[in-house]
Amino acid sequence: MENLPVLLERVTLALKSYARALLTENPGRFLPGLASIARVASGIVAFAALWFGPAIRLANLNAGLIFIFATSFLGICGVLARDFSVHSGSLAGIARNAMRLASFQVAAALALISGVVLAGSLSVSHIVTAQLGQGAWFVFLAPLGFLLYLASSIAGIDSVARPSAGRELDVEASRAESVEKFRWPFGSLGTSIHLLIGAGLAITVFGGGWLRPFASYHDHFAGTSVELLDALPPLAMAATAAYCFWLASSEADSGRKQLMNVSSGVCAVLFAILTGVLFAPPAALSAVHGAFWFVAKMAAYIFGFLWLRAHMPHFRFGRPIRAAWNFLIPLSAINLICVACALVAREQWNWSPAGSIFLATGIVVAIGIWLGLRDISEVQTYDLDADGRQQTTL
Amino acid sequence: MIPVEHYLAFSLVLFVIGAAGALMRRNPIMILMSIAVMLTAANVNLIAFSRLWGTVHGQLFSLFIMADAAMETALGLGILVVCMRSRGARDSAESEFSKW
Amino acid sequence: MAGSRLLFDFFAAIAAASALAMVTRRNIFPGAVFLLATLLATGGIVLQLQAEYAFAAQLLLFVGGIVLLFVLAVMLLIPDALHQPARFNWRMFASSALVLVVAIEILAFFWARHDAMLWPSVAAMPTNNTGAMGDVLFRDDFPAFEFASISLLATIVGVVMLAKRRTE
Repeated sequence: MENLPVLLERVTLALKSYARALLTENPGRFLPGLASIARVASGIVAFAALWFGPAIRLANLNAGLIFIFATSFLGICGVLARDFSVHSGSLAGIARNAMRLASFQVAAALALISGVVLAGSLSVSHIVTAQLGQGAWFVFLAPLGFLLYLASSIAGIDSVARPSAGRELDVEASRAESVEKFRWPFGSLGTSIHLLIGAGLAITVFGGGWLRPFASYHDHFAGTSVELLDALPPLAMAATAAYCFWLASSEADSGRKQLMNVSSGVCAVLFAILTGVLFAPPAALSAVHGAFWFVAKMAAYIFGFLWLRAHMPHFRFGRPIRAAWNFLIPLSAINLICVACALVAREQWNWSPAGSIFLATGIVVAIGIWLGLRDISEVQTYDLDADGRQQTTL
Repeated sequence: MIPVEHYLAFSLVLFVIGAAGALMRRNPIMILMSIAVMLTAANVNLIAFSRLWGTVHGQLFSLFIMADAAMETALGLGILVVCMRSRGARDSAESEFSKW
Repeated sequence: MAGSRLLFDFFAAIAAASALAMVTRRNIFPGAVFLLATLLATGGIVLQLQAEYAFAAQLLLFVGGIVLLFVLAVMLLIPDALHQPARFNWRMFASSALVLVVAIEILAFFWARHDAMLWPSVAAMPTNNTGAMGDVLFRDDFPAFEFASISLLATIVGVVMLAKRRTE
C-alpha cells in the first residue's frame, strides 16, 4: 500500500506528458487525415438527400438540392486542406486550384438552377415528379443548361495526381510523400464520390431521376399488367449477363475469366430480381425499377463525363478561371434568364414548347458564340517577373 | 420538444464566445472569424423564435444575415489583403510551414 | 423525444467547444478549421429547428463561402498572420470582464423568467419551407431582397476594385 502514492504519481506523470504531446506537438499532423475525411464525408453526406427511387431515400429535405450542392463546397475545403498539407506546391498554386474549383461550382450551380426553374421546387422528389408531370425530361426543355452543367463539372473536377516515383528529392517532401502513399486512395475516393454526386444531381434535375424513358407510355403486354417498357431493365440485364458470359469464354487469363463469370452471375441475379418484381405490387415495382433507371442513367452520364474529359482539350482559353468567369458564368446566367422567359412564354402566352425552347436555345447559343469568339481573339499576355518566370494572373 | 430557452441559451453561449474572441484577439482575421461566430449565434436565435411562432420570417431574416456576413467577410479580408500587400509582405516565406 | 434532445446536446457541445477552441488558437489556420466545425454544428441545430432552407443556405454561404474565404486569406497572409506572442494587456482583461458581465445579466434574465418561455403550443411550421420563404420574400419583403441584391453587387464591385493592382 505504501507504493500507491508512487504509482499514482507515475500515472499522473504519464498522463501529463501524453496530454502535452497530444496538445502541443505539431498540430498539423492531423491535417492530411482531416482533409481526406472532409472530402469523403462531404460526398457521402450528400447521398443522404439524393433520391434513388420513388421511396428510396434517406432524407426528404425541402431544400435538398442546395444541400447537395453545398457539400461540394465542403469538398473544396477538403481539397484546400489536402493541398496545404502536402507542401509541394506554391501557395498561389493551391489558392488558384481552390478558386478554380469554386468558380466552376458557381457556374454549375447557375446551370443547375435553370433546370430547377422549370420544376418550381428545390426538393429532389418534386423535381422528378415535375418532369413526370411535364412529360419531358428537363434535358429536353433546357438542353443548354445540361450542357453547361456538364462542361462546368468536367472543368471543375479535382483530379488527384498520382504520386510518381522519384518526384520529390528533399526531405520534407519525401515525408509528405510517404504519408501521401496512404492518402492517395482517399484522394481518389473523394474525387469519385464527388463525381457520383455530380452525376446524381445532373440526372435528378436534367435526366428525369428515377423515371423510365417515356414514363407516361403505359401500353401493356397482352393479357398481363406488365407494361411494355418495363421489360427493358430485365432485358438489359439479361443481355449484359449473356455478353459477360460470352466474354468470359473468350478470355485467356483465368483471373479475368473469373471476373467476367462473376459479373455475368451478378447480372443474372439482377435480371431475376427485375423480372420477379414485375409481378409484385406497384410500389415495389416502381421502387426497384426506379433505382435501376437511376443507376443506369448515372452510369451513362459518368461514362460520357469521363469520355469527354479524356478527349476534350483543356480549356483553350488558356486560363480556366478566366474561362469560368468570362464565358461559363455569364452564359449560364443568360441561359437561366432565357429558360425562365421560355417558361413564362409557355405558360402565360401559350407558346408551343418547341417554339419557346428553340428560341431560348438559339439566343443563348448566339450569345455563347459571341462570347467565345471574343475570348479567343483576346491577346493572351503572359506577365514575366524579374527571373523570367511566368507569373500568370487570373 | 426542446424548450426554446435551450436554443436561446446556446445562442447566448456562442455569442459570448464570439464576442470575447472579437474583443480579445489582435489578429484581424481572428476578429473577423469571431464576428462570423456572433452572427451565427444571432441566426440560431432568430430561427428558434421563428420555430416558436411557426412562421418563416425569422428564417428569412437569418438569410439576410448570412448574406451580410459573407459581404462583410469578403470586404474585410479584401481590405486586409490590400493592407498587407502594401506593407511589402510576400508569400515567399514558405519555411513558415514548418512551424505550425 | 430523447433522440432529438441527444442530437441537440451533441451539436451544441460541438459548436460551443469548437468556438472556444477557435478563439483560443494562436495559429489562425486551426482557427479556421474550428470555425468550420462551429458552423457545421450550428447548421445541424438549425436543421433540427425545421429550417431546411436556412440549413442549406448556412452550409452554402457560411461554410462554402465564408470559410473558403478565410482559408484562402489565411493562406495568402501566412507570414504576417501566423505566430503572435500572447501578451497580457488591460484591454484583454477589461473586455473579458465586460463580456462576462453581459452574459451573467442575460442568464439572470432567463433564470427569472424561466416558466414563461416554454413553447406555449408547438405551432406547426409550413411543410413547404422553401415555398413559404419564397412567398414571404417575394411578396412581403421584396424591398429587402432588392436591397440585399444591390448590397451584394456593391460588395463584389468593391472587392474587385480592391484587388486590382495599381498599375503605375
